Amino acid sequence: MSDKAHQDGDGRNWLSAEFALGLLDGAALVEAAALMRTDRTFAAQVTDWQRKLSDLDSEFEEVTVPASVRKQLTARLFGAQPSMLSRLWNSTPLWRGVAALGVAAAVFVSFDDAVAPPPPGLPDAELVTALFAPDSDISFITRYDAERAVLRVNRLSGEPDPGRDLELWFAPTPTAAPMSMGVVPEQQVYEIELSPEVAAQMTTNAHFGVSMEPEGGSTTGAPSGPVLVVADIHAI
Amino acid sequence: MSAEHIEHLIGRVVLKDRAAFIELYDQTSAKLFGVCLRILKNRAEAEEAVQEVFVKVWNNADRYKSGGFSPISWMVAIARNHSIDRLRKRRGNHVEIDEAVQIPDSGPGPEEQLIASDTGRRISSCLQELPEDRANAVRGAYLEGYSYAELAERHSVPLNTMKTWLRRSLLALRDCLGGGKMEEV
Repeated sequence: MSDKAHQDGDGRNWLSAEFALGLLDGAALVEAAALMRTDRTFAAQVTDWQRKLSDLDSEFEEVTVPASVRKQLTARLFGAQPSMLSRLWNSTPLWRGVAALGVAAAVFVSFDDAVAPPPPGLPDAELVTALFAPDSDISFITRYDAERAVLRVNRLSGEPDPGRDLELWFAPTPTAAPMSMGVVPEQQVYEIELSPEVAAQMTTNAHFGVSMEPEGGSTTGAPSGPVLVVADIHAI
Repeated sequence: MSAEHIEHLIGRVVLKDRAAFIELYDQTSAKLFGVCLRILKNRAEAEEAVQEVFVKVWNNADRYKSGGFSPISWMVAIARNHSIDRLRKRRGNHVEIDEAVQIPDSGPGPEEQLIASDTGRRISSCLQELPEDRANAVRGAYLEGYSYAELAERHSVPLNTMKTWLRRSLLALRDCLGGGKMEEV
C-alpha cells in the first residue's frame, strides 16, 4: 500500500485480518486475543473481517456425518435417552423425572466437570439461580452466601393455589434425589441456613426446583405435587 | 434451512432445549463437518472435532447475537477456529486461547452496520481481481487453515514473501469490498 492515509491504522487492521484468518500463532495470537477483549475498535475490525470472509463459507462443501457421531454427541451431552429428557424438559412433573432419570442425567455431571468447569477467572464467583416457571407467574431468585453458608431466596412473583404451599427443593447433583429446603414462607425474601454438608454441595452441578405441595409441604420427603420449575445453579 | 429458523433454534438452545439442539445438529452438522474435514483432512479427527464443535455450540449459544453475522456463519466460525486450533496443537506450537474469544460476541454497532451496508461487493468477486496465486493463498488460509509456512511451501516462495502477498491481498480486498479501486498487488 502506498497510500499514506492507510499507514496509521494498518498495523492493527492487519493484525485483525490475520486473527480472523487464523494465521496467528505464539505471541501475536496472545496479543490479538487480549486486544479482542479490551479494544472495541480492534474487536469490531475482527468482526468486520470475519463477516467479509464468511462470504467464502459457501465454498465449504457439506459432508454427511456418520450416525455414530450424533449418538456419541447426544450421549455425551444428555445421556443415553435424549428424547425422553427433552420431553421431560417440557413436562410439568420434571423434577420427579430428574430423580427417576438419574442414570441418564449422570452424564451431565461429567459433562459439567470436563467441559464447563467454574470460570477460572472468577475466584470470588457467587452462585445464583433464576427460577422462572414456564407455565405460571411463579419466579424466584436464589443467591448462595458462601461466607455465611446461607441461601437467600427472593420470591419475585407468584402465589401457591389456595390451600397449598410452594416448596423449594435442592438436588446436589443431577443423579441425587432432591432434598427439601422447606416450604416457602409468606415473606418475599428469606434466608435458609445451610448445614456444612449441604453447603459443601452448593456447586454449579446442583439444581433447585419449586413444587406445589399440600399445605405444610410434601409428606413423602420427595416432591409429591407438580414441579413448576427446575433450574441450574450458575456462577456469576 | 432459513437463517431465521437456525436463529430460532439457537435461541432455544440458549434455554437448553435439547430437541432444538438435535434439530440444529441435523440441519447444520453436514456443513460443519465439511469445514472440519477440509481443514483437518482426516476423517477420524474431523468426526471428533465436529462433536466438540457442537459441545461448544451447546455451551456458548448465548454468545450468538444476530446483527451482521448470519447464524450459520457463526457456527462455521466455531468449526473453523476449532479445527485450526487442533492443527496448531498438532504442529506443537500451540498457545492456549479460549477459542470463543475469536467469536465476536456482539454484533456490529449502528455505525459499523452502516459501513457494512456500504459494502457493495462480495469477497468472491473481489478475489477474482487478484492474481490467481494471491487469491489462492487467501483461500488456502481461510478454507484449508494453512499457516504462513505451509502456504509459502505450497507456493514455493519464501515465508516473508508469503506474508507480503497476504498482507497486500487483504488490503486490496478491503479496498475492493469498500467499493474502492483495486490497487496493484
